[in-house]
Amino acid sequence: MKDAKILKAMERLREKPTEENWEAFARVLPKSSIRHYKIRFGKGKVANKQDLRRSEAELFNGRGERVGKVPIFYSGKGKMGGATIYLKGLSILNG
Amino acid sequence: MDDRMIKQDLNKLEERSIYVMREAKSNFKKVAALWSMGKDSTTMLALARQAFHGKVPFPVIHIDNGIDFPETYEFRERLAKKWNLDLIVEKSEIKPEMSGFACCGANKTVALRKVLDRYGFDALIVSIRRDEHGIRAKERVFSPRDKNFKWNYKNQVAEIWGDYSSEKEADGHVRVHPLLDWNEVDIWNYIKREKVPMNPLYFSRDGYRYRSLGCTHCTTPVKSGAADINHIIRELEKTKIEERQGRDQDKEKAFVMEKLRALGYM
Repeated sequence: MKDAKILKAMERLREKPTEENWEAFARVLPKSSIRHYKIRFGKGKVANKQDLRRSEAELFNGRGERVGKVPIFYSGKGKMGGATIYLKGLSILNG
Repeated sequence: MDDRMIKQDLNKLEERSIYVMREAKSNFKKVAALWSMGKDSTTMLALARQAFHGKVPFPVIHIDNGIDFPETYEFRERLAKKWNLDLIVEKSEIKPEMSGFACCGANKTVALRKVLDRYGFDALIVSIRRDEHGIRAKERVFSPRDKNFKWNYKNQVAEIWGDYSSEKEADGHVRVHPLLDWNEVDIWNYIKREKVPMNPLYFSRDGYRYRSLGCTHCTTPVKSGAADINHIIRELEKTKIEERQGRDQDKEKAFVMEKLRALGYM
């Protein structure tokens, strides 16, 4: 299956969004069917929307079909930061 | 039509901006420019190339909070390579539970201070325009900051007849604003005339586009079918909507913005 590797990489990211897992994801992303993304924020209270840990990127293939989701931050070794750079090459799905 | 959208003489604007950048380069020891990959700062770099024979002869700083749009990172990489930019990327630490405004202001300012301290820059070219926000309308073309980044906006040098002051406070720096008198339509007309490469997010996709670009957390698109520059210009000439309406940080109260900018918020 074409997306087997990317799906596995996405699962590892959801479990542990370390920089190493992000780099592994970025390596297999170009070979996958994923072409687009949409950023979703946390729901409910304003604080949820503004909490990076509650945000995620939904990923879609070239036909606009949802493939899965990943977080948009990295964490590990006492650090935390944004990780949208690893989605480079994808284009946003607006609306 | 909104006064801000009146088309100005592009040649005069270009000439003045080039003059400002050349003055900055000759009067200060270490100049750098801030680049957000937006239309204004990219236009500023295009003007720098006009001013300095096809080159950008100073480092270009991107304060990266890690949650810019992927298209923005791709554009950064592509243009930095094409224009052979001396790019400094400084990551700002982001605290996930902070508000959209604080996320940009406090974190980016801390990161900017680190860069200025590390490299010793005494002048920073920043691409703000007076028509963007009431607070920015108070700026000067050469605007000093003290060592704590504070801006004494109530006591500024008058800039009369293009006479600019390059004085700065000890251990401070000067913000240089070559685009201060440009408006949004001027920027797009210049981009069109000079074929300046642009971030694709400015153009309509699925019925939406980004009129002003920040990070993914603080920016929302506007409904628009403008998929090319001509259409964008026509749309802007008719609009009554503020340029930065899609930017969360600008929704803070005006006096809060003023105070924070005076304290050194970018």
